[in-house]
Amino acid sequence: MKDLVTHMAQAIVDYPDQVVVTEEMADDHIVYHLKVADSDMGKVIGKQGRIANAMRTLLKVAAIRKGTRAILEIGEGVSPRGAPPRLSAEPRLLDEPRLLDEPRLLDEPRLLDEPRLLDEPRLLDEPELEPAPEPELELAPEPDLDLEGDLEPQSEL
Amino acid sequence: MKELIEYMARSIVDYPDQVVVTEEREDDRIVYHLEVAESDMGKVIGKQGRVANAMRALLKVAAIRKSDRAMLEIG
Repeated sequence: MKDLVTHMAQAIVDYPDQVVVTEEMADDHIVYHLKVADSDMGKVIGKQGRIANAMRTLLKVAAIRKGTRAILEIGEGVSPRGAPPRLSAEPRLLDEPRLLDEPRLLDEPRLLDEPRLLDEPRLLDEPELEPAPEPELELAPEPDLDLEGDLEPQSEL
Repeated sequence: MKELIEYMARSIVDYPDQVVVTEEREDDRIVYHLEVAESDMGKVIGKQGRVANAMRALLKVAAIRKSDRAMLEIG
């Protein structure tokens, strides 16, 4: 797998002879450090890390085939203070933080609570088909009767 | 560049000896045909073509370095 990283890097840089790959065993995976000429850094990383991720993808498949896991780190040639890089001592990220896969939902989207009705179910309109005609029948004659009843006694008085 | 494709493919398949890469000039670009064992097809393509696209990305940069254009066809 070290050769794979070396081959891939050498194919795309301007200074293939400055490509150095070292490997380091960690618990359950292998970390590959890839170093290239400073002017080649952009080439091995690529726009938005595209090339770096392409190499990681291939390395990942190659590692899986061998029943292991591999991490590719593209590295600092010289540390900022000019001191030699102390790879094993300094706590640091093994890798640029990145998503291993396209972001996706772990579960199907679902409601946090069971769906429930805000109000008791009810009919939008009270059913009034049958009661409706009844009042009309009774009310219509009633005013007539009342008026007559009222008027007649009044006229007598 | 042919060697690069061969190397990448051989690293990820179960049958490296069945990896065959042929190249073909086409106007202003080179077309590479990658053939692998049938059972390895899935490996060189990958989920949603991720591995195939990774190889294409590297091939593209390698081609640009040689002021050329390259295409990778699988199968």
